[in-house]
Order: sequence, then structure tokens, then C-alpha cells
Amino acid sequence: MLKIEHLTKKYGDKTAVSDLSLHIQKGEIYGFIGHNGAGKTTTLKSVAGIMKFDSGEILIDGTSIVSDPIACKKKMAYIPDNPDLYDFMTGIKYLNFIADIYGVGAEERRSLIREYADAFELTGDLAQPIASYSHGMKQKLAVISAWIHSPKLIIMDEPFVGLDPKASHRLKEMMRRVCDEGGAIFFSTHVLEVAEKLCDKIAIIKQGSLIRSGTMDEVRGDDSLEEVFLELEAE
Amino acid sequence: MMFRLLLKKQLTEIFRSYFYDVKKNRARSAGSVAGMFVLFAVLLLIGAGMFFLLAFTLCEPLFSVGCGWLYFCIIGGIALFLGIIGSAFNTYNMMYSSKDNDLLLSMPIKPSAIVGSRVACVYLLGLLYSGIVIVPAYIVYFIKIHDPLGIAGFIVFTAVISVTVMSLSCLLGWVIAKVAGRLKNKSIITVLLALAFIAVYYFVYFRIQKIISGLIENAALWGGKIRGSAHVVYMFGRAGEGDPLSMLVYAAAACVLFFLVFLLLRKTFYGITTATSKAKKIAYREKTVKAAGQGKALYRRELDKFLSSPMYMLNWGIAALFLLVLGGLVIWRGRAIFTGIRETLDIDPGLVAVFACAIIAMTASMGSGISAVSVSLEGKNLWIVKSLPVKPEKVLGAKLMLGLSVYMLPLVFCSVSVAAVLEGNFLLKLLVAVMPVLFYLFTSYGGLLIGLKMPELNWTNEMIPIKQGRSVTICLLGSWGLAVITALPYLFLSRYINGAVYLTIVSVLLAAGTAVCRKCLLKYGTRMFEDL
Repeated sequence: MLKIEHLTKKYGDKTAVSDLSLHIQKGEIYGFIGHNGAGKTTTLKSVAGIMKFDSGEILIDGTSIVSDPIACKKKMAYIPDNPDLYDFMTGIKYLNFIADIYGVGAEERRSLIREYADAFELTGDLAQPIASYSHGMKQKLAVISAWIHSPKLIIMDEPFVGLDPKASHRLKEMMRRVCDEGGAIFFSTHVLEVAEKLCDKIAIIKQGSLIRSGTMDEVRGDDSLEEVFLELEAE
Repeated sequence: MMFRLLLKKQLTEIFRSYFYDVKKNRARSAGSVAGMFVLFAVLLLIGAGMFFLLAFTLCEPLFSVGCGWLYFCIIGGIALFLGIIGSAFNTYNMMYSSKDNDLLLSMPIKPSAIVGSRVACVYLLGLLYSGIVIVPAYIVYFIKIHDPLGIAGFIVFTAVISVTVMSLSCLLGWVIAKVAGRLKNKSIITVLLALAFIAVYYFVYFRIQKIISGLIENAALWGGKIRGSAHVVYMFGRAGEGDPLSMLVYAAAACVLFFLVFLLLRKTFYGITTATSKAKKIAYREKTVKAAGQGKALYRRELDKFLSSPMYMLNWGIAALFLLVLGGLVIWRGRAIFTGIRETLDIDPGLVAVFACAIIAMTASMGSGISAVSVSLEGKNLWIVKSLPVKPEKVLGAKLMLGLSVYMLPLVFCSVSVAAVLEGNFLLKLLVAVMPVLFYLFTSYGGLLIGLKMPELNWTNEMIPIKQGRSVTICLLGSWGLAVITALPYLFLSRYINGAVYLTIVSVLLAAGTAVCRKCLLKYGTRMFEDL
């Protein structure tokens, strides 16, 4: 579903991501962990096609994000770490805007908006301006907008920040359902317990380089993910 | 102690732009700071100079008929008007919209200290605005009328007016804060209010000369009438002259007003700053929305942004209103005006047509930067459109379409109105109708390219991309300059070619320029957008 091959991204002299390669198969929830400034967001932005990179290749379902970004973006959705949405729109207007862009039909979007807005208990606030939303409400809206066009690949940067426990639970269920239906999820998180319970595979990045990746059992062995992570960070 | 600390913080915030360059994110150099203060002083002097001339016109005629008090009534009235108008839009923000409200209220600080420090800043602002009027007026007074009582009058009158300006501005800010919490369509109401202020300003501006002339001619008569029927107004003027009783009465009144307003602000400050909006929550009703294509969705997004921001609308949309007013005026009186100009200056209809086109183009150019602004306004939201499966040309097309949808109808109305009443043959009239439209198209495409070349994406206040960015300044000044350039050569060329030929050349050049800009936009502009 997602192939990252030898990805390198530099900011001036500083190398943010160095020769990173990852393969994410259909049906996988892939967690991406690392300390602040390790290169997670840069990698995710590069995959989402909103940041140009210096070398390497990113393929979404076999299509290059560089040569055909539109085709790639049609298949995926991206949620950034800070959901800066259009404050001047209402929640429903924003969802309709996204649905229009992805060409979601009127009836289909209606039923999807109802389903997801009810699931996140946001239905009553959809007519309110986004400017009046709390951080958590914006995050919920960003999640709904990502799911509204039924993407095959979902890229998320710290998706659980700001969500209440019920909404977090719903999101985890939705993530699993996407993968059960043949999609894939690639997301970053600092909450290692979540990563440990939710992810099929995990990658740990340090100073722009991948230091370990694989299935949860391969990465942690007999230890907890927290122990492994702290150990690798200390090296 | 606490009050002083808070006041220092408030003043630092107000004058921060003089010492710190937000765009470059670094402190200004000593030379730059000095330059900023010199510029500020020059602007103050220009303002004060205007009121000096006004005072010079009024002083002697009024004092010569024993109506010195009327002189101070007029000066005091203007100072109050200017002070309140000048402070009105800032007071609400300064008093209630500070970002540190929650932080300060969470600290062991009495609300009265917070209110006091903010009121003090409102006072300084009001003093500045009213001082521009009062100080030159007293300078003229001391030059023309050598009255020692005037010193006392100057001190008390300045204090009375500045304190009254502060009290009334704060009261206005309080009213705005109370009303703002209940409004649904804040942006539209703000725009309407601002337009009303602009209309009042121009109404007064165009009438003031007539009013002053009438006042000077009939000073004794007016003075007698006011003194007889409105003694309070007479006393206000006498306070300016230094009459002890009048000074005492007005100083006491100003103090009482301030005390009452401060009491009101102190009592309500906590409630207002911590209140959530009382605007009725709109219930969401599910309905099937007609699906739109990408182009339409992107255009709607641009329009929604435009309509949600009073600052955006007032700065970059107001020229559409000017074009409508101009078109209406032309239909009403245009024929007589154009014929009058042509006959008085003894020029041919072609020259009138060329300059009429330039005036329309210059008015329309006040909106040519709308596409440049829309690029910078993406700001932190840029990730959304970049992560969506849309081609950059569609995004840029929607930005162009916003300007065209706001301006094309008023522009065509205005230029067709001018064409209809102008003397000349059909070709000349057709070109007068077409040339301003081509001019707007060219400046819009050009503006978008400039916006992409010099985007201002890292802003926290919309004022920066809308009013202060490099791209918008270049767009505005550049298109003004271009409007002038379209007409000036004809002053010399009119001997060799007629107006229709000249306007054909200009139109062809503008059309060619538009085509080149369009090509550049598709070739380089889309790449520039991807690189943002």
C-alpha cells in the first residue's frame, strides 16, 4: 500500500530524514514513534505530498507521489498534528467542501457524515463555526473529513491528542475497520501504550534514521515497547 | 505597583512594532527605530498642520465679534469627535480582546488594576487624537489673542476633553463588547458600520468648508442663538477661554463621568472577558446538499473567507462599491461633467475618454490585489489544500475567480455608464467599456503572480497579509502606477493619433499582458504554489 524507499529530506544543512525505507502492507496499522524532532512529521508530510523531499521515492499503491500526486492523494487522507482547519467555515460546510473535492456523492456523504458525526458526538455542533470549536472538536472534525471519502491509506500525525477517551476508542475502532477492509494506516504517536495495543507493525526513528522496525513482537521481544524505546534512545 | 507593571506591559505591546520587526522576527536597528519615530512625528505634524490652518481661519473672525467661546466650542467638538472616532475601533480590542486576559485573571491581580492599565492606554490614545486638534488651536490662539487666562484654559480644556474622550470611548467599547457577544453576523455588521462611518466622514468632509464659511459670516447671529438656547455649549467654549466657573463645572463633570464609567468597567470586566458568546446556537438540520465540482468548491471556499473577514472586505472589496457609486454618478451627471471638462479645457473627446478609462482603472486597481491576498491568507491552513487531490491551477483559478466575481459586474456597470454618456463614435465607446475590464484582468493575473512570489504565510494577525504584506503593497502601488501610465502618453500622442486608436493600442497591450501572465501562471505559478 505504501512504499517509502531511501527517503531523505534536508532543511539547509540539517538532515531531518536520512535514507528511510518502510513498506506498509494492506491491512496493517503501522505505528511510527520517535522523540521530538526525530523526523516523524517530516516523513508523514512527505508521504502526504505536502512537502518536497530531496531524494528517494514514495509509492502509494504503486503510484509515485512525485510523478502523480493527484492520483496518490485521491487514495489517501492526511491528518496533521495540529488541526488548523478553516475557522471561517462551519463544521458541515468544511465536510461538504472536502466531499466536493473528493467527488463524494450527495447521498453517500449524507450517510457518512451522519455515521461519523454521531460516532464522535459532533452532530449537534456541525452548524457552528469551526472558530468556536475546541481543540478536540477540531480533531474530531479532521478525522471525519479524512474518513468521508473512504481512503485506502490514512496518514495521521498524533491523532489521539485532544480526543476524549470515548472518541479515542471510536477512532481506534475506525482504524481497525479501515485495515480490515483492505486499507492501511500509518500514524505517529508518543503514547507507547496505544502503539503497543493498536499497531500491527512499528517503526522507531531517531535523528532522522530508522533504528528498528517490524512486527510488534519483533521490535519489543520480551520487553515492553516503552523499555525498548528508552533503551534505543539511550544508545 | 501592579498598575505600573501592567501599564508598562500594555505600552510595550502598543509600541512593540516601533522596536521589533515582526516580519523579520528580530529587533529593529537604532536607525530603523529612529526612522519609525520620525515617520510617526511627520504624520502627527501633517495632521496638526491641517488643524492649524482650520484654527487660523476661524480664530480672528470669531474673536473679533466676541465669539471666542464659539471658537473653542468648534475646536473642542472636533477634538471630541476625532478622539472618539479614532479610539472607538481600538478600545474594544484594547479593553476586552487581549490574548492575556485569562493569564492575568488567573494571577493574584485585582481586576481594577487590569482595567486601570487598559483605561490609561485608551487615555493616551485619546490624548493623542484630541491633542492633534487642541494644541494647534491654542498655538493660533496665543499668536492671535494674547490672553494670559488662555494658559489655564489650555490645561483644563485639554484635560476635560481627553478625559471625556477616554470615558466615552470606554463606554463605546463596553457597548460593543456587550453587543458583540450576542451577534450572529458580526462581519457583515462590522462592514456596514465601517461603511456608515466612511459615509459620515465624507459627508462632513465635503460639507465642512461650506459650514465654516457660513459660520464665519454669521458668527454673531449663531453665537447669540446658541448662547441663548444652549447655555451648556456656551460654558463649554468659555472653559476653553479660561473662565474659572466654566472650567470648574466641566472639570467636575468630566471627573464624575470618568468615575461612573470606571465603576461600570471594573464591575463588568470579569464577566465580559470570561463570557462565552450569547449568540443563539444554530441547530444542525441534516439535509442533502447538492454535490459540487472541485472548481466550484474551491471558489466557494475563497468567497466564504472573503465574506467572513470585515478587514478583507473593507480593504479589498470596497472599490467595487466605489465603482458602483462612480457609475451611478456618471449616469446622473456624467454627460454634463464630461462636456464641461471638454469645453473648458478645449480638448477632444478622445482625451476625455482616455482619462476616464484611467480613473476607472485606478478605482478598480484598489481591488487588484485580492488574488495576492488570498494566497497569503492560506497561512496555517495551507496544508489542507496541498493535501487534497486538486491541481494547483484549480486553486489559483478560484483565487482569480473571487476577484472577478466581486469586481466584474461593478466594473462593467461603471465603464458602460461612462461609455454611454461620453461623446464619441461607437468604437471609442466600445473601447471605453472594454479597456478597464482588460486592465483589471491584467492586474489580477499579475497580482496573483506577485502573491505567489512574495507570500506572507506566517502571520498571527490577518492585518499582515491583508494590509501590510510586500505583495499587496506592490500590487496596489503597481496597479495605480499602471493606471496612470495607460493615460499619460496620450497627452503627447493626442496630436498624432485619435483616442480610439490609442485605446486600441492600450487594450491590445493589456490583453497581450494578460495572456503572458496567464501563461506564466500556468507554467511557473503552479510550481510556485506547490513550493509554498
